[in-house]
Amino acid sequence: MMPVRHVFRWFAQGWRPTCILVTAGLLQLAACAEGPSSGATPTSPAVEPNLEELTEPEPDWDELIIYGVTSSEADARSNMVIEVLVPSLLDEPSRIVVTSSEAAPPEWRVTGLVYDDEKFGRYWLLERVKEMTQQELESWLDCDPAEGCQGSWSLVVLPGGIRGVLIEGPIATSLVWLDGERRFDVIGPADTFSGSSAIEVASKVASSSQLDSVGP
Amino acid sequence: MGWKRKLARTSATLVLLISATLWVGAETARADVCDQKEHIFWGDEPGSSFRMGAYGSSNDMRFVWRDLNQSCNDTAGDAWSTSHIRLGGVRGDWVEVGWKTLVGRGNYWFSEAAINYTPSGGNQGVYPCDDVTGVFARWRVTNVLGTNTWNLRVNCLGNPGTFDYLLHSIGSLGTDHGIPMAEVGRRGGIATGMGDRQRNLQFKGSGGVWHDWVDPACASDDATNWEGRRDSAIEYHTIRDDSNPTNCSWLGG
Repeated sequence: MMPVRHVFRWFAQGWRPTCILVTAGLLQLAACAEGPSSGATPTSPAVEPNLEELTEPEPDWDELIIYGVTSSEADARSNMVIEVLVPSLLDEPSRIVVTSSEAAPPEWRVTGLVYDDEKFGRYWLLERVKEMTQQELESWLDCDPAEGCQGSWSLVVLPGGIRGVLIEGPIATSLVWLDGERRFDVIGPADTFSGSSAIEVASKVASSSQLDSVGP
Repeated sequence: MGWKRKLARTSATLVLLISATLWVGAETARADVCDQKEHIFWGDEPGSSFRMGAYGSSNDMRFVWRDLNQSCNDTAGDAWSTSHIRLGGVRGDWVEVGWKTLVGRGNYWFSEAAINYTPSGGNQGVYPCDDVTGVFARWRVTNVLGTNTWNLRVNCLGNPGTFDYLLHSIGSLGTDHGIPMAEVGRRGGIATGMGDRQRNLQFKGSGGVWHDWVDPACASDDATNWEGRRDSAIEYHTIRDDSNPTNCSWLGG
């Protein structure tokens, strides 16, 4: 083996990256900073700790509804106090999920239509009784980063003049709107379901709702 | 160039490549464990399902100096406990208040609310009570009845003072009820502790009156070496189990 002194002289002649420790014939490879390294320990930046990291678990995109059970369209309709919409302008959902009737009273149940779309990937259409006013919904547009808000919250006008809020967050993209007594959420993973996708899907849902209300 | 020099340079090149590969691997592994979130959520399960109609959660939480993974930086190596409401009937909406410890930074209170998994509000501050292991503080998430606004409070229960401090108020969360829960969480893998004890667990009813929990049960637990234990109708704690910890996944995540 090359004597240690020759190794270090050779490195001193200008090879990069930097340090390798060789001791008693045993190579020890140490993690080093790029460039000529003094081996200094990186220090934390002198700023307020970033508490913006969400503490919650990552979504399970198979299960968005608490106590959700796979159901038929007929069962979903019978379990909800609102008219369930299966949008005619979207493809058939791959699954319909409804809150178990044992877990929540009818006014608190949620129906979810699960889609696995060739263009949009996996997304959900959630339907439930609205618990807020249009004014409250639009107050989401005032979401303030200084108050802990993240992502982009913007107004979208859907067919029929329905005003919804598009939420483009780090984990999920969603679009929320109210239609009569119903609240609709279109939601999907941020890395596969874009804001434009959410708008396109929501527009079809809103249009479907208007077609259904007009009747055949 | 002599063959010895050629051999030396080739050997050195290989050594450098191996070194770089190991360094990148080590950094990736460190980053992965520092980013990995693990949680234990317990909720009140009075019958066959968790209580979904609470208008507040009140949890006396024990402060503890937890072990933290010192190789993580202050934005990734942390542990926390919260009083938590999972809002409405969906997983992506919640509001909570509690405390966390960050690597190299100390102890903080924090609040957090989200709609469809996107933070809609949150705040933070220096831990307001005595940060002495074993000392309890009361953390409350409370709906303002008739609205979708939630107030987040702490009472240091004499350590120091017995005032209810309003830490944060978050409005327009779309609903006024949810599942009352106790949470402990961490990043940093098994080097970060998850010791937690929460007692005097209560939920707020629709009439504005506080009631004791009836039956604490595991709602979600993906922690690799910690699990919860029921102490009574109104108390639970976590224990470390490196052999075969029990996990539950009702709530998912």
